[in-house]
Amino acid sequence: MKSKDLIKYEWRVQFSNLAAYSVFLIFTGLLFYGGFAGKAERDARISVIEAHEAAVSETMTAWLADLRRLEQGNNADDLPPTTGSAMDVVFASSLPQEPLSDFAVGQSDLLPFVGEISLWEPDIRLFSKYEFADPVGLAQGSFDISKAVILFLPLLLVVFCFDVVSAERDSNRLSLTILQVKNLRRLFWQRMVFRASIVLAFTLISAFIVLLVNSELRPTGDRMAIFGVWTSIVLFYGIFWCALIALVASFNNSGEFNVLTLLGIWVGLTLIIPAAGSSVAEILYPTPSRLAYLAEAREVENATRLRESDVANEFMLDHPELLVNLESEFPARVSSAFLITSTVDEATRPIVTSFEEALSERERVLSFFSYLSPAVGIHGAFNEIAGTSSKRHQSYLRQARNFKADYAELVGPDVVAKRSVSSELFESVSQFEFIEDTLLERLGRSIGPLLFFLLVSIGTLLLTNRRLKSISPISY
Amino acid sequence: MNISIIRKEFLELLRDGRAIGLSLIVSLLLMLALVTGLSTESAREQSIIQAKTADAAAFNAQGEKNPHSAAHFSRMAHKPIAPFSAFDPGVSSFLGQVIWLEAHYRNPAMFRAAEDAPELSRLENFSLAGVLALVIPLLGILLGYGSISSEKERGTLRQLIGSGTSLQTLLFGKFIVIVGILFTVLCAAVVFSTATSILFLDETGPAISDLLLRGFSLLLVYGLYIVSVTAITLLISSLVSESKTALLTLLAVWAIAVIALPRLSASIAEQVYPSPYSHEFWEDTDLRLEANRPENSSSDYEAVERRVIERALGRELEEGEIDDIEINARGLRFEVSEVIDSEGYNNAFAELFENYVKQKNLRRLMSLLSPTIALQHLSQAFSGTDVNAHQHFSNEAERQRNSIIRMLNEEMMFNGTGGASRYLAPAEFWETVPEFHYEQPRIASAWRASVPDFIIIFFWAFAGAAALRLLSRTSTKV
Repeated sequence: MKSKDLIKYEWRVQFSNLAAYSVFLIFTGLLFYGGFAGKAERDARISVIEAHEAAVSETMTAWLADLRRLEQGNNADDLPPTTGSAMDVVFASSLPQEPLSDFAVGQSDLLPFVGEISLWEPDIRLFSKYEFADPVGLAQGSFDISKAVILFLPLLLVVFCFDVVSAERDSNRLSLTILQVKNLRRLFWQRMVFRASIVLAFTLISAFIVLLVNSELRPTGDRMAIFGVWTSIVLFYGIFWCALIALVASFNNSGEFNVLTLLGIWVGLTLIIPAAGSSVAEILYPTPSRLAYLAEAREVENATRLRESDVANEFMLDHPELLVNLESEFPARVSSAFLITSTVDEATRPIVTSFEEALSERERVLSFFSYLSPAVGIHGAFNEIAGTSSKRHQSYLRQARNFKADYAELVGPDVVAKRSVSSELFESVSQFEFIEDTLLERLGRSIGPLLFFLLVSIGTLLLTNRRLKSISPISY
Repeated sequence: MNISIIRKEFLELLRDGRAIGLSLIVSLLLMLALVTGLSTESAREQSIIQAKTADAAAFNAQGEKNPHSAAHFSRMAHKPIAPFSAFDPGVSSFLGQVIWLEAHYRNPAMFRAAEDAPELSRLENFSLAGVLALVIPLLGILLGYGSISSEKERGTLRQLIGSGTSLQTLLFGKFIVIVGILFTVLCAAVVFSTATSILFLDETGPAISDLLLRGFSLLLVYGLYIVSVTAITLLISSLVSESKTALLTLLAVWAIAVIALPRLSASIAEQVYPSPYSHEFWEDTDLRLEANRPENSSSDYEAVERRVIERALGRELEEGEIDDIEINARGLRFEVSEVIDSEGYNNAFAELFENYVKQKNLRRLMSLLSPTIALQHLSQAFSGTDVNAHQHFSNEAERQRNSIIRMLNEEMMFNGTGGASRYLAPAEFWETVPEFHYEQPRIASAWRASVPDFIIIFFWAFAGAAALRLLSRTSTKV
């Protein structure tokens, strides 16, 4: 049988029937829905960021206008006594949306991606007002195209490839086929490659359509480049599953046995290991309790209030150059709030550090699990390239806290001295800007497991090739 | 005859080894899920107890302080661990653990536990309920896909029918055996969960009878799920002629109904009834509060003022008495604004929860395509970890906020009237502020809210069993 004939035959038998159409239709539906749901999530985040930036900009324009009036001394009588207070300066902060963030929602529906930075709020309350997204949806995990691929691409490959040999075996035609085709190995690989290629090509074409539609048919260069990386990861994943299916099929058991075995492997690799991995990491390295963090913050807040004058004196000793403006009309509550917030932040910094340490220990445990299941590694890689990973969100929170601490250090003496800041100083303060890891750095975090599974796939394919030699017409 | 068929089917499954092997694997998974759940929840419970003690200590140690400053510091309402959260954590990790009972604001719960969970936990849920909803159908499929189709393939079905056994009796026997095995696994999981819930019960928790009823309710709904899954499995096994086809069809149904549809239904519900963005919610609430506030000189405002004073005095004011009464104006103004704004906040939060109900109703509609969705609703409701349970806590916390802030405002109203603009309450006053004693809703309220879901899952079980019975009576092709 020539390759062309084989392809025609395979197409007719495997893909040109109602059952195959139905399977592809459902899979396309899942991919498209995942793509469009991801876009809806991304657009929502972008609109929240825009609204937040507009609101902060409006507030600060008004604040600056008042400060200028105060500085120029014209019609300044009606201005509130706190005009020009550095405490009332608010900074917009947000986590920029990456070009391919519609392809993997990741943790962006759960973790903060936007928030005001203000000295009135201690770190613990900086991002405490969360979005009101449907908790059931959050618990189920957002549905996006990457998740559709992780969960359902292996199943599709199993459905179309499990019986490359067993179809003949189950219908008692295997001996005849081996005698006819002379080279069973070639037939096996031709079938395998053809069927897997159809499934993978279908997946990637569907994803490309999603990319085009979500970009209104004009994808940017950045988006295309990251899509290229996304495609490579999907291919790695597909190759791993093809290798696994080929290995199971090469044992020449019945089709039923192959399906059961592959299903068991799928359940283990895509559902049980990821779920068990996160549970084990949580048990081994629990984060400190947020409630304990809150209790500590409140205790310090209370204690600072009770010894406020001591705290103010300590601050003065640290800043000997400071001269308190005794004629200032700034209410005492402003400087008092600053001292309390700063003291609370300082006292709770070890708890924040221990949170970060627990998270990095967990990541270490999970990186071990990413070598046990490709779904774990792929899930992390998709989130990394889409910019929706937990790590990126945590980095944003850390940078926001650091930005606030730097600003507090800069204007703290003015606040405690009950002085307004100058408009020049305000304009010279840089706005919050998220410092991004490069795509290569982010990919570097996920590349180890991907390469490992690629090696495993190559090893599996070689083993399968050797095993195929042992299938003989005499034994069947 | 029935008994001998049941015995024969059971022996066949035992000899095959699959039933025992699979049940062992599933039991291991369930044990792991239970241990994980218990470990997480008991750590959480410990941290709640410690946080509550620390919060009370911090509040009571404020020293001499202005009551309004204390109202801003205020107390925290800690959400207790739900009765069966180790069995099904539901949405509790996604709704915050503590509410700040601050003056002027009704805050949502802070600190969602899920934010601290590893990113990977979003891929799959490893709770006991999650494992049961996922694995029970799979176990049912693996035990039953070849029940009839393999008999057809081997030609033994014709022989069995020929020997006088009706297809109905045969199907019934196979049905009982599969349901029996699945139910044994389920029973073990629910009984263990109920026992551990009772074992770790403290004096603030629900009554033992409530826990037992919850356990029984879970057993009932998961039992109905088992019936529907087994019926569908046997139905498909009877309709196709090859075991392989039956297996592939059932696996496709499982992947769609158990893996895809619950996720899709939640996603679609959020798209159709989008939850408000945080900034929109607060802007909208602020506007409403603003619109709801009467002018200080208006008769509406005066009426509220009068009500507040009468409530504080515990008696009705006589005509003209209001002008003579000595009262701290700031304290009165604070309390009047609390009373006026409280209604606005309650409406805003009621609408938010109403939107969650709309999302749930849409998911219910989609549970006509997958019983797993209805099962998840029921499981969370009976475990006390659904949105309704959170709403109950949020409303109770708001009641506590109103009562604490009122107490602090009244302390201010009747003190500091003699010219002292910043009245300081004595240090021992804070201990008179009552603790928040939250009683979780009873099982009856979970049942009331879950009737539609129960009807749906009952319908699935009944329709599956009825279709199987109909098929066995009408099918002539063996």
